[in-house]
Amino acid sequence: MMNYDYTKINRLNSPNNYMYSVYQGNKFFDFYFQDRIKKIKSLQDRKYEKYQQKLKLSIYPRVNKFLNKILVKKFSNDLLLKSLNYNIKKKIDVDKQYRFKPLSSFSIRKEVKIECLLLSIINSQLIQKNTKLVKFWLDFLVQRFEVKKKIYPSYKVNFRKGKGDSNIASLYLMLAISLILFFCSTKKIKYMNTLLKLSDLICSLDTKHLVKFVSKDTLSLILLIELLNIKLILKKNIKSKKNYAFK
Amino acid sequence: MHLNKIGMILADTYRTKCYLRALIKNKLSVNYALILLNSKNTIIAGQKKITSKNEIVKLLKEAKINFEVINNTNINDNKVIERIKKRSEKVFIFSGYGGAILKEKILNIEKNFLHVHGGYLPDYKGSTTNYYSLINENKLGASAIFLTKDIDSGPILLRKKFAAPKNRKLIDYKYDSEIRSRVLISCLKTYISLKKWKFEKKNNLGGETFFIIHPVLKHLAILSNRKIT
Repeated sequence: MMNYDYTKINRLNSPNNYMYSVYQGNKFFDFYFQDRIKKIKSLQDRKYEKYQQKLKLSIYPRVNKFLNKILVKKFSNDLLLKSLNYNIKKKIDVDKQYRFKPLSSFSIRKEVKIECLLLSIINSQLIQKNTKLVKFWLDFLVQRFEVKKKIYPSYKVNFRKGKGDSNIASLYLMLAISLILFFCSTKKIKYMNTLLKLSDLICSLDTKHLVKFVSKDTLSLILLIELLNIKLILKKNIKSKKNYAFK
Repeated sequence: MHLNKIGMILADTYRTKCYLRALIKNKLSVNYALILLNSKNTIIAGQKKITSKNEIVKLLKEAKINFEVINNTNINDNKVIERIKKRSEKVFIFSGYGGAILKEKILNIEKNFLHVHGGYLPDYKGSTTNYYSLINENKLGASAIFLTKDIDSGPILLRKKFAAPKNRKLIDYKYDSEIRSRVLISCLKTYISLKKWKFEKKNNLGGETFFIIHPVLKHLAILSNRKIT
């Protein structure tokens, strides 16, 4: 593999296992950056706006506002961000507060509905509460995703076996939201690891299909923050004489 | 020194060859080895290339270890379990194919399976953990454990940390196997001198479980030469 092939084919149908991945040198980072930037640019296309009105999930504007704050606070002077013409000053309206099931009401001894659980986790992360419970549930979700490379709408007792259709794009995006929020608050590389795999999977899906089911602004923000965090880590830790994208 | 209560279960991998070379170098031999032969023409995780079993056979003969070959790569297969069950050795050094997890049916046959995990336990459980420890502390680790049903959570016989190698591109097939071999030999030498298994840490609970490293982070671990900030 001399390219960024992890997003080339639909990874819901053909999951990556990432085992013994081949070392490609510094230029591999360029392939990664180009691939993510291509997706971010494709999501900015105005023709997709019409699909976004129909999205039901109320959490998206709140997430976007939170992620946008991170972007402004940490990366507003980043040249890569500027080159993408991404509008970080865009006004985001958060219409009303919705009620979420308390995170403490979920139990692995009962069947768990994943959309409800993820909404509660994300809500806790946005209000910065229940940190231990957030990690508890996130670790279960990370484990399930890493083993099967799928997320199911519900999990049976003991959180081992998934049930239902594993092709629901919004569930993958919601886990990605939770992971980016967790990484930003803890800097634990384990969560960036799973986020990179989830982003690969989401980016491998056709944009035309994706925008019908997920917020393109939320997805763009996640990909941007992931990319800029990786860029920052590389800049601080890798010496390179060549002018790679992260320089 | 011949260890007559110890056997080995061996996949055709670089790690197995490393273990056998280390035994030969330290003049140690075990009583028996079972080779799990990959007779298909496809590479299994942990194999860099398909080789004939001859290289392993040559090393086993050099180490004066009696062996059998089974055309089966699955440690949990009943035919493999039956072969191990009927042996007299109580402890088997396990060097299987990548990602092989021993299920309860083999763990319940009243044998102990000595595995050297590539990572310092209990801090680094799971897969490819040495890349994570390079990122977090610029070190590699290896831990000898007896396998239990909970992954990487069996009692720790011995664990060691190692300095990061100069050429990090060779971690997967070279350094990872070499540091595991060093821990294995130290562990066996302690067993010989004490005439029993010594446990450095019986309680191996807690720690963090990691999953196969993403290529972006793997490249970061290889190309950086210090703890990541």
